[in-house]
Amino acid sequence: MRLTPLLRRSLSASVDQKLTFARLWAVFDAKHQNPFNSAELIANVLQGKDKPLYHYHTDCGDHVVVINCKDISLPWYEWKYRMYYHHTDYAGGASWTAAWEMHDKNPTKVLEKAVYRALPGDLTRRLRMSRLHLYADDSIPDEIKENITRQLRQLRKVPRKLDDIPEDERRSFPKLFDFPENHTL
Amino acid sequence: MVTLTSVLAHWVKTPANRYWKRRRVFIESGHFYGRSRNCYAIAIRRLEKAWTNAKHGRADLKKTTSQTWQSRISASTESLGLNYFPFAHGLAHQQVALGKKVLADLAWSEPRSFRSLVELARNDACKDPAHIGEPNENVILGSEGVDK
Repeated sequence: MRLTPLLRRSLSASVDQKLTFARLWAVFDAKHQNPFNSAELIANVLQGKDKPLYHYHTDCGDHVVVINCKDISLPWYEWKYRMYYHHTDYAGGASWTAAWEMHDKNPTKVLEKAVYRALPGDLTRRLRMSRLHLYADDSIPDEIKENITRQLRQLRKVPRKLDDIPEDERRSFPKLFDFPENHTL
Repeated sequence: MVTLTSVLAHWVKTPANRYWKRRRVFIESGHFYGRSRNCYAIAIRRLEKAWTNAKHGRADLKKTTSQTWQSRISASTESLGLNYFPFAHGLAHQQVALGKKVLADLAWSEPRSFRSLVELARNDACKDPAHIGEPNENVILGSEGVDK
């Protein structure tokens, strides 16, 4: 039943210990990702569940830097129908904000709330949230960028838009006919 | 006058037996808070509850330990691109008789041995096309991909 039967008492052991429990910094590109599925992945990294030394009493979580939060992609009509509830505690103080409205006010808020819900609701939740760094676009401050050592896998491919495909590749794509000059697509 | 054997002697109501009966309980309840430490009527109730909790805890410890082993194993296998259940199924199919405890210890103490076990399970799982997972194209190799 013992989980870590490593019996070493030496200087190298204490150095190993410090290296093992060092905080790593990961970056996650949220472009075209479902924020609720991504939140589970990010919450696992914040808890340290992606490490073989995970234990629920050990504070072994990593930092996660999320970029391109403004380009998240919600499924179905969730921009319209997902509501964020708030009550001011005064009579008639209830308010419901749609996801698109929340996203207009703060482009990192939807992902932040999704990760907050994905983390376990104990006393470590705020501490773990403080290790989450959200950025609306891909510009990161230098003092954070210098810490990053790895990138998390995106959960799904980012599709290429027609504008992103170079002109010569578009021209060389096989086609059956050309539209006439005066045809409007 | 009835002479009792030593087995039945403790049923006799004497002040001495009353003392030792309480003493046995107070030894167990010495670390409790407040009067449940030294008042017998409260102590015996709290002690029964504590023993009940301890009994449940013995079962829970086995469960949580097993969950910890499983999450450690799946953390290692998922970083190598295989989920836990195809891994466990593949090892069983290859007749590798290693338990969760040994696998969890290998995962953090011998990552290279563990990687070869994952390869063994992956080769087994590749016979079943349902378990083949293709990694995403838009992946930049980080620390998890450096030492492959």
